[in-house]
Amino acid sequence: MVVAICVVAILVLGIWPNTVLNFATQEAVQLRRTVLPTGAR
Amino acid sequence: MPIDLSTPAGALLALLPELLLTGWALVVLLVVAWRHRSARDSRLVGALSVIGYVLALGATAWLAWRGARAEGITLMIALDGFRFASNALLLWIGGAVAVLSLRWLERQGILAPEYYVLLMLATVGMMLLAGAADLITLFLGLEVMSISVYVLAGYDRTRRASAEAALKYFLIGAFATGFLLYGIALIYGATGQFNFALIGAQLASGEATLMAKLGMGLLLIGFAFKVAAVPFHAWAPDVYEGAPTPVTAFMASGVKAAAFLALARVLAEAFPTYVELWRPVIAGLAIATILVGNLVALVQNSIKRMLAYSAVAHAGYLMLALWAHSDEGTAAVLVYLLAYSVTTVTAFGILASIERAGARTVLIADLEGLYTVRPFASLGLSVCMLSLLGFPGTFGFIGKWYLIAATLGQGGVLLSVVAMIGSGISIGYYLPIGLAMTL
Repeated sequence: MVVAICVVAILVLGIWPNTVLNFATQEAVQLRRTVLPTGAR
Repeated sequence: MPIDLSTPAGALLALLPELLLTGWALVVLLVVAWRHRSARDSRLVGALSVIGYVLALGATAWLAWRGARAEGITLMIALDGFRFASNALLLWIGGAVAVLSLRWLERQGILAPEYYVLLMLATVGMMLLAGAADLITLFLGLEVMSISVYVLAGYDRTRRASAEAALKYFLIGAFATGFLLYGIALIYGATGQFNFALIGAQLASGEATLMAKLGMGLLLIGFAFKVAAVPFHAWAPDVYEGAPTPVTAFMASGVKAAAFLALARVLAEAFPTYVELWRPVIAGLAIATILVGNLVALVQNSIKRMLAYSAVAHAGYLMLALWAHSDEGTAAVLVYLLAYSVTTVTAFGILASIERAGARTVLIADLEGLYTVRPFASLGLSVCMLSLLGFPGTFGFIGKWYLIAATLGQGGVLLSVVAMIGSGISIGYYLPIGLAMTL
């Protein structure tokens, strides 16, 4: 059952990946946004 | 929702998904203490472990939904979208492997339900590793993950290959940990900090010291062992082949994903000022890993060994995203890891389903005529092979596309060409599997 869902997911996300791509872009951008508070060292 | 990580309550809240999964693992261990004799007990414990994954995923979603952010400086554990996305990815892998193991363990007569507890604890380690905001948490996560996976690799106690896999993985893992620890010690010596952001600030404000450079180099070597990058990959084929098939799926997708997610964070937050130093190293590792992984995979006749070398090659592709050192590159790491983990877990799940009890190595020759006996399994495996190849219309293609786009975006024309050559070579070992099943 899990395998069948995964196979369908591979095909569906291969044709319609927008949601995953948007999510990944939005979350990944935050990695580089580390801001140190004033005075921290 | 701002969380003050310097207070115990804040730290506990930030660690809610990891704590929930750890607590659940201990509860499940208690259940195992008196339910460990029959196949029914094993199924019960497996089902309970899946509930643990769902609970931890719920806690991660809750933190993300409440917009949990660190108040002031991020201590010990990150509180950002990247950690929540990493947690979701790792929990899905752990949960999927637990579900795949349910019937496999029963069929192979391995009725020791502690397996699921180890799987949950390994996942906790992976989450700590991927979400670490300082080198101590990173090391703690790495060890929690590794120790559980060493045991899992040797879980099939009746098989010599499984014991060999566990011993090899343990020895090489300990060796890699040594490198990593030396690296951490040197970085601390050079900067006086464990925190990624503070290390980054120290390195940005001062001269590049030899100690810091050496520390970073040793850290990279430690990670290269963990992700099985060439020339630190020699352990992967034997370990992947000898370990129980669901554990191989877990190692190939989960352990690799956690190590890459952690490396992405370390390079982006602690060493952005040394980018000109580590970029050529990553590029060299990526080229060697893509070419060696793909070329050696061509001559394998065991599918698990072939997938092990394919996993080595995929580590090389993922390094391109790290090399890009951009938002697109980091997004590509997430997309590629999701595509790769879905495909790898599915492929190993299908392999586990066609393995006979006692005979646990599937040769490519064994797949001949599978289509006539198990049409859905053979179609599923064909889709997985096409996705690993990066064939258009599959999720693997999207992952590779995104990754190459991120590399080209930073001027990595040579690296992109190598990635495409690697994909071309991989046709030579992915397609014969599809052909063997149908012809």
